[in-house]
Amino acid sequence: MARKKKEQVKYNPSYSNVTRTKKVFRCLTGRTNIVISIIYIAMALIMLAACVFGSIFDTNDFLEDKSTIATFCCTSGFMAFMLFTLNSCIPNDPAAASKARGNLDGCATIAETMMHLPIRKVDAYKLSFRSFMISSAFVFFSSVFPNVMIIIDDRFEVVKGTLGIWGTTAAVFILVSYLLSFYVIRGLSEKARGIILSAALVIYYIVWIGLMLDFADKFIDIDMFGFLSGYVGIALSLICIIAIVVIQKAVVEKRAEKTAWYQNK
Amino acid sequence: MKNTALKIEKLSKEYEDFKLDDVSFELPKGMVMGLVGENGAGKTTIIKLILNAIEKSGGQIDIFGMDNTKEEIACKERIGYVADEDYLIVTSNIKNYAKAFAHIYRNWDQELFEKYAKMWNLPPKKKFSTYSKGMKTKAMLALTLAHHPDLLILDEPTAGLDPVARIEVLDILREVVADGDKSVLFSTHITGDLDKIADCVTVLINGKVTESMDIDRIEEKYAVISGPLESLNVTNKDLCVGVRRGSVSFEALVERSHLDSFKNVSTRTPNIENLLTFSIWGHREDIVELGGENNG
Repeated sequence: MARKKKEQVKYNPSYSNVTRTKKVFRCLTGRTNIVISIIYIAMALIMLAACVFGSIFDTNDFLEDKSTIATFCCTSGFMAFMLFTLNSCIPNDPAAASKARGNLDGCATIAETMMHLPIRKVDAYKLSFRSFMISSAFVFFSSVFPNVMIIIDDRFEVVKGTLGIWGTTAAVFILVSYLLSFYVIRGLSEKARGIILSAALVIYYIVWIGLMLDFADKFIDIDMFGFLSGYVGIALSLICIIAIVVIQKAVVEKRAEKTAWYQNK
Repeated sequence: MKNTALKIEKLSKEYEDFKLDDVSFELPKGMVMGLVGENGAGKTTIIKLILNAIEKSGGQIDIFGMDNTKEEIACKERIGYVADEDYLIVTSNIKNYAKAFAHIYRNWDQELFEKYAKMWNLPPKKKFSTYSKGMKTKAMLALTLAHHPDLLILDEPTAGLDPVARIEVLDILREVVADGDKSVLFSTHITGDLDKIADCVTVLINGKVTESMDIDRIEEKYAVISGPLESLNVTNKDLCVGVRRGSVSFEALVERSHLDSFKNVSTRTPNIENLLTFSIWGHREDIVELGGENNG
């Protein structure tokens, strides 16, 4: 009986709209979603921790293989991207949602369920943005931390080019995936949106594989991208993150307050 | 306005290949309205617009006097929605949904939900993917009714159900609307579902409302006439809402005030199905040239 009472949920008027939306999201998606999210976070953290501790405590060995840094950074970025995908409740185009419902066994119906409940679209966007920022934080940290190391430790000069390419790729990837995932760019068909997003992901992979396996060295002079690391790399990451926050607050959330759940439909 | 659950005024929505045009109707509190029309007439589009799921091109929707877009949360707290195409996440279960609903609805009644779930044999921890279509509809009804909505919006809830499940769902709905507390907008193309439930009906043909009236008024206003084809001529065919012609005879829906224009015909009382089908045929006759002109 006591257990039953514990499980019973009641409306809590003190919750903000976003918190209430988050509670609903968690209930609808169930424990599996939480477990997978924790696994992704744990894996991203392990990769970042290995990168941090490896570069600080075992610097010489760490730098012997230039590809190590690309592997750690890109893997954590990939995990972060999956984390966002898993926790997004942005209403997609109905046709895309219908297709996704078939493919993903129902994940696409989260926003469809939400739009029938006393939930505002802007709160679904805010909740998804939190998840996007948590994911982006992993990616940006994996870019900013090595750039800080370059500034404070001369020995990291050898990975400047790698970091320059990685940092720029990560910033562009995050920006593009934000602009497309949050429907900032209007008028694109769902097909075009999918193609651009897939292309961004493919480029991300190519850069990762190229840097990790030293392929890139055979085709281009990686060192010449060194100017994109250090202070420039940190600035690039900061500009990107500030731009995303500004666009979200000034454009996306304002638009979401005024528009119906399915935009342009 | 105080006695109106739902008021739709000059609502329009334009797609490339479809237009919802200047739709207006009113659902008084405590009434059950059948929203009838063919597949693709715009019924689901109207419901999506009421739920602010899609952007309207023009017009106004008020729910209990509140603008449905400006006061979306307050409006939706009072709406219960049951869809034809279920929005249940198939990997989830009704227990998870009940928790979610408890977080979001002030009036959530866990005991009532458990009562319905038990009564309709809905296993709480089984995934929706294992539910039949009838069970999914019952699950949506249990979730919807347990937050005590003032306005129920049912979008073809019986479509695709087997006969037993359909009768069971209709029985549930009859029970729910029996006390007259709830206002109901019941969209369907199966007009038989509305018998004994609906108080009023709105007919939608190709995105336009052709009629919105009390059920009792259908009998008062219209009659179904039938007779030899010779009785239909150039002058009186335009007075018909719709005509169904055979090789020697015809049937038509006409306003009772025009009955004098038809000779040698028998009359009978129309029902909702007659109103819908003849309205559809009437619209089609605008396109297909009537051979009846030769009969004049």
